[in-house]
Amino acid sequence: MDFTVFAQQIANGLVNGMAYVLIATGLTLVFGVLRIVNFAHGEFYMLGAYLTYFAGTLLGLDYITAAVLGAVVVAALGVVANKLIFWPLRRDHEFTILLSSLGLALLIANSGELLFGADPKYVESPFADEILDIGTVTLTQQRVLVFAAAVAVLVAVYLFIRYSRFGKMMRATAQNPDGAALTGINIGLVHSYTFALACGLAALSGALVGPTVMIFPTIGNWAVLKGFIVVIMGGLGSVTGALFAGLLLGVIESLGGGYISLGFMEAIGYAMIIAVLLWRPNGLFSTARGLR
Amino acid sequence: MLGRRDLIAAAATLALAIPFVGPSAGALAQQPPIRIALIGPMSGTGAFEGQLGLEGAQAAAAIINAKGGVAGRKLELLNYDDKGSPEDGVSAAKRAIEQDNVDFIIGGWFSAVALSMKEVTRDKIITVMTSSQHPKVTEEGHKYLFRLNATSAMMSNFYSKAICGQIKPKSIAFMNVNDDWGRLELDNYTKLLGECGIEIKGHEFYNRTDTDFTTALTKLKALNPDAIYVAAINTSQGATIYRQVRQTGFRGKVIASAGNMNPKLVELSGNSLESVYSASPFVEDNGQPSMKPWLAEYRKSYKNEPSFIAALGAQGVELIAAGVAGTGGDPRAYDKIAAYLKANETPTVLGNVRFSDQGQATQPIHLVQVKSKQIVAVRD
Amino acid sequence: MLKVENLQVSYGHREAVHNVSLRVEEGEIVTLVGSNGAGKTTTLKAISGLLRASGGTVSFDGERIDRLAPHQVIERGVVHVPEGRLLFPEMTVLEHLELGALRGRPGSMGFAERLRWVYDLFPVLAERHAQKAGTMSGGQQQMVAIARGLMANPKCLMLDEPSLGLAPIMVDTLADTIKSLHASGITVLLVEQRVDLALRLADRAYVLETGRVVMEEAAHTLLADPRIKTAYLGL
Repeated sequence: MDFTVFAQQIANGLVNGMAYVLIATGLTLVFGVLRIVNFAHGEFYMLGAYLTYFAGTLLGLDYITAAVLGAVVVAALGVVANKLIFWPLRRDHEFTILLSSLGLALLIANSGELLFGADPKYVESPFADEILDIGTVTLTQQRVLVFAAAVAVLVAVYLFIRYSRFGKMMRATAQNPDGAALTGINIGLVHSYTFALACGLAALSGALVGPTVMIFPTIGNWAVLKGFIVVIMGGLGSVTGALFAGLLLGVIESLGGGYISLGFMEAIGYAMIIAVLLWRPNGLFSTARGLR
Repeated sequence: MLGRRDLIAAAATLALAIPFVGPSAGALAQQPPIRIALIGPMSGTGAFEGQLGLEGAQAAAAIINAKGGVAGRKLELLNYDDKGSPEDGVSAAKRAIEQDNVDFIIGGWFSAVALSMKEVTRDKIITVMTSSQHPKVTEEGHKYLFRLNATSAMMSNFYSKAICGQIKPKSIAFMNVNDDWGRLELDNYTKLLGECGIEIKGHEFYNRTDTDFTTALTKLKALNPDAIYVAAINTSQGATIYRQVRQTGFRGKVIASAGNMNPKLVELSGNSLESVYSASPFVEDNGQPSMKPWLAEYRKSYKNEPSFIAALGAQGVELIAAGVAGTGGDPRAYDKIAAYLKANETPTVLGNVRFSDQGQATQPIHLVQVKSKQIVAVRD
Repeated sequence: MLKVENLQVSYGHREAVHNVSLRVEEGEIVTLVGSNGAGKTTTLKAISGLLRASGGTVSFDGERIDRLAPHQVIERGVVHVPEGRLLFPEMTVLEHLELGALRGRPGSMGFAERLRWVYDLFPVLAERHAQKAGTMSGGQQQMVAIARGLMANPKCLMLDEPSLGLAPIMVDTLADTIKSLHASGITVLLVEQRVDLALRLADRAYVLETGRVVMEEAAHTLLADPRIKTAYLGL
């Protein structure tokens, strides 16, 4: 086996995997705290990529500022979506909530097609074509940025959930919503901010991954699919589970595509879900009790 | 009994209706329009290409209608979404024929859709297939079927000669989409390029839904070929591949599949398409009389740059118009129209098109290259 | 102090509480007794804002609280220690107490003092402040639940089935704790399966049956009347 190619494939897989982790973290937070299986999560990823694009082309902002602005705006949109749709439905049947998240996904994707046009666009980043040689491994600066920014953001999110007062409120709400309410936690506020955080993370991943591919209004489907594979593998509601499952998926896809066949790459995700669910029905790192 | 409000409403309706009834009640309005169904991918990953084809056809129809239409009848375009899938293409064609009673169909952007759709329209209605390159589309020669694009065999005959004679790589590796067309491309070029002494280093097939190609490109780069040949129809996948070819550190030549170079691709690919070759029936300065007005009309109406895909849409409309005009004006005289089109050369935006008995067009093809982000013809 | 008038609560289409009226005066211990499904827990949930009343009013210190969210009810001094404790199994004792203090009424004690007071009341919690609640015994979990409620500095403490799942010796400790909380000036509304215990602690009692108040009496009177005990309380 050629070691250079092997190392390169591992590096490719880790970068892709870290992007999956960033997408899946928001999805798992929303499931853990709000008990919503949010099919619209991918659309917030799409909006993040598009807002970064428009902030760059229309407002003339540099890439980093545009990405941060995009994430903040999408987080605010998340607050609105939660207030209008999910908060009023919180006492309804799970199925109703599931359908309404599906409806929201279609609504955003279709409005995206009308507003942004069906033609693909490219998010300009100064790092996109700059090549870094790390030993025998070749990566673009953008891909290193995807990895590094994701690590930094995930560490910050982890510390926030673990040690901040609001993070404790989130965990309490995830572990026992009624108990949290009777402890004096403002559940509405926790839902609102958690949804905003999740949407912000989705948007940030869109902004980071954007310059490595092309964007078009239906990219949300891809994002939500990868997110769900990771979340189901890692255990619904588990943040650490998403981390390991995401990296694992990225690396296995890359090695499977590299050494077996590219045709398998997509199937690998589904095969892994089935294997994990047969072996550990609650996912690799399931807590079953919610956010740890 | 009528109230006062009803009376006012009725009067208003009349007042609004009169100007429309008056002047347009002349000869044109008596003649129903010629209805053309345009079936293409309007959503999903091929939505952009579908949009371009629609725009090209609309621009051509607008020019014809502005001159009074065809034999005194306006052209009316009806748009259908095949979502790039054979199932949706078939149901769109059925809807167009049975419910909307159209006179002609333009469609078949993707080979898979064209192959299924032609079975629904065969011997029923004149159908102009556009961009699909699969040889089977015209192989059986249904009597009302026409296909505009060169087949992959015609393209590859031309292009392989150009690659061997003008681009001259020592070795080559292929990056092809995993579908009927991509596999056929690989077979054709492996044979044709091998014959002129180019070493074939290997190939990778990527999936039509992939968004990241680094895994495949890492493998191809490790083969250390002189050139990488990329077969991609989808503009967004193509742009990602061309960028990632450069991002993986490949410094050799890049050759784009024939018929798949367009301004949007150049725009999206940044510098990574610079000096990349392709073969295309579309060049703007081809001297065809209908090209200039069409380019002007297109640029006036749409924000996209005119492209080969858009020109195919325009050709479809021009062909139908010429067929109806040349046979006396009855859009349902299919036998006469089909015979006329096969017997005569039809002038279109891309050149004078001739059809074989199977309905396959022969189009002029040019070797093109991206230079300073412009697609220019390579003159020998 | 706490006044419930004509309270109605429904789950979906089924009404679980019909026209319940009761009041708790400052400094009292009042108990709600009745068989399972009589509507005791539902009544407490409606007071604390966890369930929305479909009719009637709840007021506290003269202010309507029946349209408020749970955290707003806590801010006004009414704290509900729920049946089943509803702890956060993956969080530590100390984290529970921190969260309990979030909406605390400002009082004479700061957070540190209040924490010391709660630890004095339940010394085992001080020892185990870093232990996850899910790994504790039933008795210890009940202490965490009550302690969490006390961190909010309640004027009126509503305890729902505090003795459930406790060993007999723990039940005695619990009774002592309730007495000492009462002595420190906290008004108590108690729902308890062990009717004997509840009536011994309480000043007054309401008897609920299928979502209605069927009797209001001084606790010692009920305790002394064997006919009532058999008819309504199944003793």
